[in-house]
Amino acid sequence: MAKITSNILVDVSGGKDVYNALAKAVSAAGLGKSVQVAAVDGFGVKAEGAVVKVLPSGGYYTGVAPEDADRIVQAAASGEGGSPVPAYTTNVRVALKNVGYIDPASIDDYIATRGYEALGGCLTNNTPQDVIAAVKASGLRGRGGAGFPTGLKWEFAGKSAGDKKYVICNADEGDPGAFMDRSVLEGDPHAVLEAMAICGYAIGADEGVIYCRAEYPLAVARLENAINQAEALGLLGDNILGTGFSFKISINLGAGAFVCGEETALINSIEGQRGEPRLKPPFPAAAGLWMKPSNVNNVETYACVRHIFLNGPEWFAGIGTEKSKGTKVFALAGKINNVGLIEVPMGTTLREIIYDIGGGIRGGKQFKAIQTGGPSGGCIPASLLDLPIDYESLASVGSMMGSGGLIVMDEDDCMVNIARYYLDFTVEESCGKCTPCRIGNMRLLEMLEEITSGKGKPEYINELRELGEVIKDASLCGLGQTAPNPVLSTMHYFMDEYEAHIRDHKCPAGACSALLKYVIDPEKCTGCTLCARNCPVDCIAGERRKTHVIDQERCIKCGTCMAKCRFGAISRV
Amino acid sequence: MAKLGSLDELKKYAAARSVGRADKTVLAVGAATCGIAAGAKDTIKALEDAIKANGVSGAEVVETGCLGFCYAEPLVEVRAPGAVPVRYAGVDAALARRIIKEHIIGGAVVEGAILSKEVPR
Ligand SMILES: Cc1cc2nc3c(=O)[nH]c(=O)nc-3n(C[C@H](O)[C@H](O)[C@H](O)COP(=O)(O)O)c2cc1C
Repeated sequence: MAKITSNILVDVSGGKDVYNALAKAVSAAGLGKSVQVAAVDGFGVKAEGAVVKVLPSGGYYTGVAPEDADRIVQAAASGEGGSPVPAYTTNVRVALKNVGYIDPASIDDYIATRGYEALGGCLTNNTPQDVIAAVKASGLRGRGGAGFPTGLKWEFAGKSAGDKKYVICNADEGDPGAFMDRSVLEGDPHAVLEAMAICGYAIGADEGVIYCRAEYPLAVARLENAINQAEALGLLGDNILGTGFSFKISINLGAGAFVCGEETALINSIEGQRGEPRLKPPFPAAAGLWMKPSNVNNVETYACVRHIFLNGPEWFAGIGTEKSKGTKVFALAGKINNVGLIEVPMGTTLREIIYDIGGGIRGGKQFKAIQTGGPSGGCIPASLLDLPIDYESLASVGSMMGSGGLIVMDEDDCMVNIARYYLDFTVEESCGKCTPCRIGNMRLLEMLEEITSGKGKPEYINELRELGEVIKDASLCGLGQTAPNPVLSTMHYFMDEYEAHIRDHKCPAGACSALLKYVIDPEKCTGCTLCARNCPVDCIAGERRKTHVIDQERCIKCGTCMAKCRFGAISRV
Repeated sequence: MAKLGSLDELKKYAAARSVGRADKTVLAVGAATCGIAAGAKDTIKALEDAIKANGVSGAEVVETGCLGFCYAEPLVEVRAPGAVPVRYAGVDAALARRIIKEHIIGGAVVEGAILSKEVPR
């Protein structure tokens, strides 16, 4: 078989003129055996007009007209052509640098990407104080939720006196819809191990514990494999790289309680106690695991660390916004076309994330809100789409960075129901230790359940707000302190929806099943009996060729009848 | 395996290794939990079987982490020496066999299956 040596990829999402011209030019030049023209559906690069990409060089042509075909074919055949253009997705990959690139089961792959060089450099050339100073200078802040400056945290743990200290990696990742940490652990486990060892050297610890949820068996297997490989090469264990520094890492499995992601509850869980938060202070940096000074960081936080040393703290501090440095990994989910895992510099706008990277709203529907920060966060409306995201900006609009889940909602989502969903989650996951969280959130949920079933009273608006503020002020840990956020933020931006439920007993989005009913239009109904035959609860009555009627008492609002009706006679009101 | 005794030894060890192979085309399959759930294990087997069945010597299949495009799993990235990578989306066993036949052996990309969204490293 003759071998094709160059490929010309044409974006045909805007039409096939250029594609046809190129195909013609290839056969006219008699290059059909060595040059292939192939259609693709978009490249994800920022460019005007028709875009063509040439392989193997990977260069682009932009704004291509059919007249350019001969020139492009000749260039491609001679193995050149095109120039780079910027991609929509920014090219800053830090935490995900190796994820999807290296073989996570191969320590050689990792070392080939300068793996363990940052650790070796720190141990050989830097004092622990230097290491802490570099992390501080980078501006790195915790990626697990609160955004606390990582260098400062290491400094506190370093300064705490103690014969024994611990480095803990929080890999509990409990936010619904979040999978950033899992992807890092499964795709680049050594990056986390290396950073934990660097932290151990910085704070004076010789032992690390990774607290990983048991629902992540592949992440655990890859971590175990990575630990064994690193020990075999002398990159973990005793006398690392002959420097006299020793560091061991073990894995502790969590059983899937959301509150065990909170650092003090996590520490309790490792100790075999109930997964309940402890009163702070003392902070873990002073008295953590087994009451010894401990540093707790999130997986993604650790995954950034080696790059700070390989490229310099200034490099890291040069990415992002004034107060939020570096990049953030987000799990993009919900009503969006391109569901996936993305990494963008801090300061990227929500609009860029949703439309350029996420490809817009599924089914061409209207964007309504984006939820950030999981059960602790809030919903951000369309009017704030140009918000550059960082820790401060998200907090200023009543949400938070959280761990990086982004859930996109469209016109069919009811914001009261969304708030109810998150509250349902936090009530389920509350450990019950403190009253504001245990009882208060339950009361919030009860009110929301009444509102979404049309039984809400006007005074609930004030009661929700007041109780929400009290729960935030009085709860023991971050779970309770943030649980009312989804309610308060949706009340702030979508009060009209709350009012419609309470005053008019209507769900404007048509999502709250208790507030809608299916009705048959007697004008349009032909009495074909199709709806009645398909109704799963047999609640539609009517004789053949006579108007049918739905028994609203028994109707379960599944919508099957509306989907089946061939005459558009059934509507949801 | 001997332990590395110093930073210099680590650097020498690193210099002798590379992720890509100068003499081989690598077929990297996204095999994180997400990819596996979407069928990456079947994809890997189909690619390996096709490589064997066609007597291809210059290609090998490796597993890698999540490439980030959940909506397009299972994903295969073809990395030929000296060429920019080409990503294929929704690679089931049939498409895997076509990739080996048409792309690896014939040099022609498999039309209609390319995910060329740029995520530079
Ligand atoms: C209810 C609750 C759940 C949490 N879950 C997680 C989690 O799953 N992963 C995580 O890294 N941090 C979680 N945190 C934050 C941790 O308490 C802690 O702030 C974090 O691990 C510190 O690491 P960082 O500074 O690197 O972000 C949670 C906090 C609360 C209050």
